[in-house]
Amino acid sequence: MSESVDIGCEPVIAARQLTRRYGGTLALDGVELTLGRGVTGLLGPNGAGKTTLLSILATVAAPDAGRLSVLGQDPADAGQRVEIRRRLGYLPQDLGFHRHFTVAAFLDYVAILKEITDPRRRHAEVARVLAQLDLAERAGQRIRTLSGGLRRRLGLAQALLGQPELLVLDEPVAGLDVEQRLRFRELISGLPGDPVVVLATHHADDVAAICSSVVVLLDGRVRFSGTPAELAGLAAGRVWRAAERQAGAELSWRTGDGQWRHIGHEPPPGAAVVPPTAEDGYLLLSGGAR
Amino acid sequence: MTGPGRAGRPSRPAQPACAQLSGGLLAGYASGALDEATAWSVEAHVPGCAPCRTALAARLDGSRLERNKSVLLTRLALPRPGPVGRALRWCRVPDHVVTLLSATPALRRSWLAGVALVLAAAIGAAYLVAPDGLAGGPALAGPAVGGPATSGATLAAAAAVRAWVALMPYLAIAPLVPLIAVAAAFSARLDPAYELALAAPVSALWLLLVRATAVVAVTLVPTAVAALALPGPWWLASVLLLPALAVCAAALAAGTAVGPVTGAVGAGAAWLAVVTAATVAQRPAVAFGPAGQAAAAAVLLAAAAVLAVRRDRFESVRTRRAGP
Repeated sequence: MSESVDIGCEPVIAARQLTRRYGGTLALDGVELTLGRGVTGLLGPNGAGKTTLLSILATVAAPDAGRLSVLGQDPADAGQRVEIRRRLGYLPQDLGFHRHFTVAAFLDYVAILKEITDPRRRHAEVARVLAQLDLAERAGQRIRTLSGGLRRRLGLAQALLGQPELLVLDEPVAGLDVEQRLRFRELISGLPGDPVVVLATHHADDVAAICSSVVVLLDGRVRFSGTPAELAGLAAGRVWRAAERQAGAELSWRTGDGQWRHIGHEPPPGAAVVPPTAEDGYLLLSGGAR
Repeated sequence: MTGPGRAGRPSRPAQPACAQLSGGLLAGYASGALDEATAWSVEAHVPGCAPCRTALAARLDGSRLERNKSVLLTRLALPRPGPVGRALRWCRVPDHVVTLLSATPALRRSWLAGVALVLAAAIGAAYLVAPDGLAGGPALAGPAVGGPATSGATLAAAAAVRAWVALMPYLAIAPLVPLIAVAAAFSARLDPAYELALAAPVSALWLLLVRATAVVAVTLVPTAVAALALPGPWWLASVLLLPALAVCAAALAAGTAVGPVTGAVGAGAAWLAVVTAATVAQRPAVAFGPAGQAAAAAVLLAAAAVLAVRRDRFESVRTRRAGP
């Protein structure tokens, strides 16, 4: 585990000592990060600084201090910032909608914001993402009548407009049901052009399923950067099963087969140690298993 | 449907597919040579015409036909522009700019209806103060009234002041109508998709100016019409133009430091303070006379300079979040 790990051969995002403060709250505290191509999952509890970091990567917010390079461009420079935005798809955590818009009208609007002004090309692009997110039949539906899950899918659809090279997705599966979450995994895995994806989530299993790298953010600092397997490896030898609840465990729950699954720093002698998951590693790292 | 549009150059002789659509048009559509309007016409016709679908299928592969169909369905799902949108198109505003403006609250019918109500109330107030009209009317360079009304000149001045006071609700409110519309057009609180606009390559300042220009233009129309209904001179609306633009520009300039809503509140309060002070001092014409117009022009220029220098302030989040 280190605070700065070069994950890919070609850094797409490089952050040095990124700091951001909101009043008396230090949201980011000297974040060091180097991300390469592929899908990166950002894990961390509420208030860890995930949304702040993603909004800075998306050039929506500026850091108070530190240096950042995104797609080889410096967001502090106005011209280079526009170049990043031309190659960016962004899904904010709390994406708002003009509720009187229809689904198609909203996507049409965002496509214009992305400089797709030619009507034929724009409408073809809107039709493409509608089909990609299985929203074509709802194209004429007003957004105010959509469920939360459908709105999240619409949010994803707008991020995919223009086939961006970099996708910054803040909690893309929030509000999605199990089937939609699995379809999201399929969607991200099948994106044309192999874009760079950075996504924040509370679901460690999603990270393990689709991410080539994972970053854990705690109290505004990068506490882990590596692969999901390496994150799971943090809990190696510290997860075990037993017929009874054991006092030495830091976190225990009874599974469907009646057995107890324990996570702790020191399994008892003779314990039936089981392979850890990325979630176990995250729990131990974040102190959730304490 | 006959095919009056440009048909492109089909690579082979085309056979008519049906009575409404010529084979040349189908061939032009298949080769992508048709202009926008004609291609739209073909796409609108083909889904409901089996012979044309068959003829087109012979020229296009299935996936392209399917793609064209989904594009057509997308177009059909797009709402037709409202009265303001149609007016903007009539004024040759590009289609994509009209679409961008559709997210502007001040260009919606409900907002314009609210504007009409406010202006009607101001007109009503003028008639309440001066039910018999404004004898003599307001003069832009009217002197202050002081002392007992003993001379004819003083009586005329008093009549002019009374005329201004009767018009004051309208004159005070009229520049605030576009001001509120401008603040609403670029407020993070009132624009739910604000973050998306920030993350997009379209310049935030350009977007702001397009929206501001549209809402100022659209809200000034009912304001000018309302001026004609007032018991005052016909030129009344013209003296409001510069103050209204100055107040809006000052709000935007102040918004670079404190956000558009706070900036608008500050600019609006400053305007009301000027008008109230002039009225209390019995010199209500000052704000709209030559001195007032010159001051408004100076404010407008200064605000434009501030906007040019601080334009980068619109390119990232202005408001502080509650937490990380």
